[in-house]
Amino acid sequence: MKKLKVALIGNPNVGKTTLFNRLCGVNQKTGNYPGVTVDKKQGNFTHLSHSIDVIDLPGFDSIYPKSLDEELVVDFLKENSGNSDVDKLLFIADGTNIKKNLYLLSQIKDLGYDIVLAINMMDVAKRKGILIDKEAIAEEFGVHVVKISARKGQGVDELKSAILLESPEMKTDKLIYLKPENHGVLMNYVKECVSENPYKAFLNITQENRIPEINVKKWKTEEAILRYQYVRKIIDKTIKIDKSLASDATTRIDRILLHKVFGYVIFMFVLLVIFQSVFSLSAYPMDLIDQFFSWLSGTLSSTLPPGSFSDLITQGLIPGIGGVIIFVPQIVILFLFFALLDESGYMNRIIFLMDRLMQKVGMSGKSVIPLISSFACAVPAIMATRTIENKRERLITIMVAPLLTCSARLPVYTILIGLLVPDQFYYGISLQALVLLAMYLLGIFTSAIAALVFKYIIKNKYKSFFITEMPSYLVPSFKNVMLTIWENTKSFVWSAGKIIVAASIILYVLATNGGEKFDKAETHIMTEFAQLPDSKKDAMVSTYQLENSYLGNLGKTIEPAIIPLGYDWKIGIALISSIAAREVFVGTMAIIYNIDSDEEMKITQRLDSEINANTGERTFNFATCISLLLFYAFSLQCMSTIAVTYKETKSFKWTSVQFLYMTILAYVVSLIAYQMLS
Amino acid sequence: MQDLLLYISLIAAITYLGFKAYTIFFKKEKSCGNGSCGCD
Repeated sequence: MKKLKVALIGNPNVGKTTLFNRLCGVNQKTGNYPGVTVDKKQGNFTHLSHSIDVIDLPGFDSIYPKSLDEELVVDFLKENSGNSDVDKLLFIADGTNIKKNLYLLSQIKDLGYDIVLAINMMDVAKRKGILIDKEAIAEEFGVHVVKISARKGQGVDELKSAILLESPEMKTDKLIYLKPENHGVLMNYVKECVSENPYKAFLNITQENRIPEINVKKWKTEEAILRYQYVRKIIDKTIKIDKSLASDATTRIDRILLHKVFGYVIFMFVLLVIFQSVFSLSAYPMDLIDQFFSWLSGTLSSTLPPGSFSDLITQGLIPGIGGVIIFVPQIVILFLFFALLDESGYMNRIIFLMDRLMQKVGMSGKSVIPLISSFACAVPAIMATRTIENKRERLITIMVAPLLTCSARLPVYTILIGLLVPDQFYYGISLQALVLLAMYLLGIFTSAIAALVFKYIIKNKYKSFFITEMPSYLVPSFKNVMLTIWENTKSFVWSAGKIIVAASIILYVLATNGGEKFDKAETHIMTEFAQLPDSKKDAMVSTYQLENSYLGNLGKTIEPAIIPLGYDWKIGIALISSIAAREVFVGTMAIIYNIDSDEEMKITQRLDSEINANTGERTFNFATCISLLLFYAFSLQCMSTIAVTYKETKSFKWTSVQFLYMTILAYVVSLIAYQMLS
Repeated sequence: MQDLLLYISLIAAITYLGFKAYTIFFKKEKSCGNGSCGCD
């Protein structure tokens, strides 16, 4: 009986172990590779009077190892290239996602191995309408190709027979992975080493830096580009997807959700449902939280001994913290939906839909993931741009990410929309939800325009490609959904909370202390307005004191610059304090109007009844609310974002460009909006 | 006593915000070692 030795290799999760079990049955044993704890599985089967030993190697993604498992396989491949220890390699590919597998196959084929290619999961591929021309692949790579379904046992006998056949000639045996001008250097090295296979020599040069004068990084990059181009040509020729033949549930759903028109319409509808829920489901818990903080403030006011520190707690800290905690229900609902979209697999479809638009504005699908993270917070989003290799695309993504609506803007938007739009429904759709949706779309639209502008400013040499996998639709995991909500809510409350507590203390001290005018506020009001009743005089003293406090003076200093936008000095204070973080805006408003008023009211009621001393009209009228909404939509009111942009770009220039373009945009747009609407 | 507590709170708040500003702008990020997180 003739003996053969075959090694089973392929990317992870292609069904290698299933095939190994199918081939060898119970004739297998598990050991360890020498010196390491990685499993080494070996087995045996007989076919047509041949005894075939099989080694199941760990799955690996790249010939450039990143883990111990991968290192083992790559060492195995390099050691056995050109000797007779292994007669054949049995390469397993996933028929539903073969592109990535063929890249790896081309690298291994270049090492000079005799290969049989088993295209697995063909039953699933068929349901997805994937058509693979196995004869053409066999001809291109010089391998025998067998279509199988290891799970169902289909094609396994044909595969066993193919292992016994002689390999066909490879169509191209040129050095497709290296530019022609470098061929001489490589071939000289091969000659010096006598028996080296050219690609093995290439790997020795690039992995072990055998020729110091060669730029290894450049050679590796060249290989990736040239090999992708080569594999892409083969894929275009050999693999077709005929959606009309597809019959699985995921494909059927995708036909609708990824439709050129309906795909976007459904996406908009999903967003509308999310924002409507953010308003309607959160109303009751928000009221409860509001009542709790009012009760806490009232109770502590009556129980704590009178004095400045007690006032700090009841008039500064509690309104400041309460002003932020009240938005927790909305954050929870928002992230509940984001987690459901992600877990169900729909988020990948959104990325695919947006990729078409991204290409047009100088970014690629790789930018979509950081940009979607931006809806939570721009800081992790900017850090996530590290996965974008193309420098221009990365810089553009960093520049526009803060324009998308982060969770810190949500409290500001909610409070202003509450003042601006009545809580009414038209045909079951909440008006407030529609305006919130419009604000999110405004962020997306502006970031696209900004990206387009940066596309023409920043020069680029390379074009990049984006390949994403479309996972099947799944029922979301409860645990993962809860974890996402918990992580994001904790981050919102804890990170912002610490800054808000510190800012509240400073704001309170600045608002309750001042110069000579502040100290003489009571005498001034008593003499100037002696005829007014005492209750009115008390309110006037509070207002006069706040106006002449250190905080009031700060607001008054910037007032001339913000009057054209429809703001007064009190809003000016909130603008300054929220430079640290946008959420501080709400906390600051709560503190300012709490100090300024003796009445127990909700923050929205207080803002609604506020009168602008300059105009004599309602401070938060239609024009001012629109102007403020636009200001917060565009301005870069976030220290952490500025810092992370600087860290990631390592450029003072681009950090300044980002801050300036967003601030100028915010000012100009708000100015135009107020002047047109007032 | 209340004024002293208020004063201490103010100093603590200013120190915290100052420290926060220092860490986000000047403190170096910890290296993850293998470059897998992209910080190499």
